[in-house]
Amino acid sequence: MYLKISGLAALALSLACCGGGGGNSPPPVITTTNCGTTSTETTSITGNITYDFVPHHTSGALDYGNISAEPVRGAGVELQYANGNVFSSATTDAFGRYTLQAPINEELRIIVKAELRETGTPSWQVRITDNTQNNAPYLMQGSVSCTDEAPQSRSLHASSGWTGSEYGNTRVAAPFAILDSVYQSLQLLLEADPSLSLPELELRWSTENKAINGNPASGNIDTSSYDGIYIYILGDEDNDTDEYDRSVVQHEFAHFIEHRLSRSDSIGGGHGPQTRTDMRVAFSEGLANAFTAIASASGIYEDSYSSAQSDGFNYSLENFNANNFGWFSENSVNLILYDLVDSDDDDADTISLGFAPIYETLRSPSYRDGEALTSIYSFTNALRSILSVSEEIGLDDLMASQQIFGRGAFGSDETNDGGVSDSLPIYQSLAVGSSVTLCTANGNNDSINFRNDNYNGFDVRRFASVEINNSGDYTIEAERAFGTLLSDPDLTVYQDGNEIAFFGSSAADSESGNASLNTGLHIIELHDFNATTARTCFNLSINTGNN
Amino acid sequence: MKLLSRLVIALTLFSSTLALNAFAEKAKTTYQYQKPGAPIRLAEPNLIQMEPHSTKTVTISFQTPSAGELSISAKPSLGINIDDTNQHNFDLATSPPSLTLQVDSQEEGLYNIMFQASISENGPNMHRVFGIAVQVGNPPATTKQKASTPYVIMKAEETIK
Repeated sequence: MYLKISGLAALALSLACCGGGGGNSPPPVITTTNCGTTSTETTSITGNITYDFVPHHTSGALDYGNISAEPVRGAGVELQYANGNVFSSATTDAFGRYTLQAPINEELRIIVKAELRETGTPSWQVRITDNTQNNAPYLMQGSVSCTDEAPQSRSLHASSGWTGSEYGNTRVAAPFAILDSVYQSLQLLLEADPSLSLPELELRWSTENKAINGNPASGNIDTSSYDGIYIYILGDEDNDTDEYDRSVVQHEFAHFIEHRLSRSDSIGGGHGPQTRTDMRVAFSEGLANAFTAIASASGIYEDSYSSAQSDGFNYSLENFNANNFGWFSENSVNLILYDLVDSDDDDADTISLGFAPIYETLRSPSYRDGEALTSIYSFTNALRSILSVSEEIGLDDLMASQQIFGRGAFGSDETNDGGVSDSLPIYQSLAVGSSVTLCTANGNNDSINFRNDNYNGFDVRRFASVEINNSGDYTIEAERAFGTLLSDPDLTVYQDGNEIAFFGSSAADSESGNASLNTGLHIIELHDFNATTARTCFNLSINTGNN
Repeated sequence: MKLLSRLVIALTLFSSTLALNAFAEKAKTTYQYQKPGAPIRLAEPNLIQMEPHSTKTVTISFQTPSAGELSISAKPSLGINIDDTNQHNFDLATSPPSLTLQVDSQEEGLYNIMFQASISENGPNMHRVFGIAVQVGNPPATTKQKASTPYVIMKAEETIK
């Protein structure tokens, strides 16, 4: 398996250690304390910061019999007086080590923040907070103890809190386990982009975070997720905890990366490797699955749950067969992306690009500003521009092995309709002054999607592309042509991934609206909000001027 | 005649409602990015409301695919009881699955019933844990937010040399 971590990435973090006292240091006044006589000189405190990492059984369950102490890497460490004033600060290196300046014969404690912070180039700020406690950041602290003239060693360890059959003690390690999954992800990103500039990120975790839809401030977070701003992580013992599920944390982190550093048109919602979803969802989720398999160097996706976290599941990104092949399958997407990166050649996989070209493509203007909606097509179309001829052949082989035959950003000439003939072509061509018929269904006949799903199933939304040659006002209309009565078509207009207009009235069987459109290609999405079990077809038209 | 009048009024109200709502603009529905899991969710994700020290029978329906096998069990949080925590198996090709549970409440408060589900189809089982809130009585609507503190401070195991 390929996946080397470059020395540069480790160096970027280890160089951050050994910070000095800074502006928080008190003036060097000699006095007598409980520890003795202070000095104008300073000494040093060094130590190791570790946390309990709970690995997984091969079943995907957590394996409390093999807990190991792992380094807390890249975290902020401070030497504080009892009143909270900071004498000095540093950042742990790749081995969890730190060095701090310390005053002599003073009473101070070590605190470790569940935070990764790097300023300059590269840069990031990632914090783990508690959404049930006013989003306060987590930290662990040692005791207030006397320093000495001689250098001291103070090592802190975050315990899992596991007492044999339950979390009988405070789960100190949990925020640091989440932090370390992000640290691991940063290594992968730094390998591809040494100048990484990451927007601020807050991951919210609590022992009260349950899989119930409701108010996150009460711990009802629905599931581990990224909501476009924050990442929420489950912590509900005996039901579903995710702090040690690197796959889950890194999957959601990948959504953050895709959203903030690249582009995502995904509409979100429920999904899994066996579901057939909207192509935007399939690509986003497949990318996130592949990202964690690569970042963790595990090659798998795994998730624990149940009483005592004693059950779970996992699947290989190398060869998991979900019997679900195509542009609508996140499993197809993640297998392709993983095979593009890894160094193992097998079956249709003859290509080993590493992660950098994937990242480069995600960041490229041709992908981020492209006319087509994000999908395996738009991504691979942008990727091709940096591939050699032989690499393109390797990519073609991978896509064919997943029964993806369309080409270009719009998936032209795709022949895999997923068993729903209305799904092709992926984009119907529409001209100003004319109409086109688009048919939707709600997945009822699709054994893989949710029964009666009318949100992100692959047969729920349909797309048309229209070239606007003259900027101005246009009227866009959809009217039920045949199918179920009391349909409720809604229309969304996009240009280069930006939403230009949304027409979402609850008028039965028709929808219309006026939009001011610039020149260029536009995508119109048709969604029947009331999609039923039966196929319903609509005439979609666009005309100049307002109604 | 009285019945007819009521029917006319009802129809009038119904059609008025339709007219009022005919062109009401819907908010665009969006969902967050979620972790992968089994394709199952609550069909009606509304909370269960009941009085303290009472018993209520509820039928909880689930949205699933229309093929495969579902194994599911329910587990109450501390403070409420249910009469059935056994694992139930469903053939999803037949009809949408549901569980009928008898819920016994005690003190006023917010509780939950969690479901652990596994769906097998096309390879390894996929799992999902999800739940429904149970409101007993009229507990304060405020959230559980604790006093505002700048940090959540936890005690480390420390070795000083």
